[in-house]
Amino acid sequence: MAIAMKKEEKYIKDLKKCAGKYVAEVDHKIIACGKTIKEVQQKARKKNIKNPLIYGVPKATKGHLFF
Amino acid sequence: MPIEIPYQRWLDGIKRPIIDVELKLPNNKPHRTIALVDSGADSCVFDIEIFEVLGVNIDEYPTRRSIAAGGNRFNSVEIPVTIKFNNTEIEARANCCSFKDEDGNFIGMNLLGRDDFFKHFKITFDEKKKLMVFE
Repeated sequence: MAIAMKKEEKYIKDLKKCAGKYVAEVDHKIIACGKTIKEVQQKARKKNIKNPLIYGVPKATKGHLFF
Repeated sequence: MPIEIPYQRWLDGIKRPIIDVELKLPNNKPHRTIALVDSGADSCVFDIEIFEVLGVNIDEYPTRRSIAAGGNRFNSVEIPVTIKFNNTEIEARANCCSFKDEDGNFIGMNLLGRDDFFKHFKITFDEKKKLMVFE
């Protein structure tokens, strides 16, 4: 339970570091971060990871656009 | 067989109804991403950068004026796409727009709206248990 909590905390911490950028995720772990999807795909490819989950992490500066 | 999917904890610590989906276009590799299951959205809204990376010529598709929550108006491009979720493939019309602010920071979230996504399922939001049930 404590290990799962630590993993979750690390995941959220990594997400926060990438706020405003795109990330690639595998098994609930952030493996790459970048300004564009292409950049993130290239970083993931260098780590031999095919088809990771790629999404943007909103930067909450002036409010979110859609939610 | 109903599928239960727990909400995902987001940056602000709040658990939200976010799911993993795969976007597919003909003759392209699928793109895996996340999207918010949004009963308040009429249609699906996606980050246009995904489609640019998939090689879509954005100029070939019709532009429309859309309204976001809060009344902000924005231009979007309507692109047909297949959304794959849990072995179900849904033909949808994605309203695509830039999710970046003037400084290039990502600020949006992909949305799965009622018109295309919700009509394929009976979706129950269990706020107490923080999970969604898809039937």
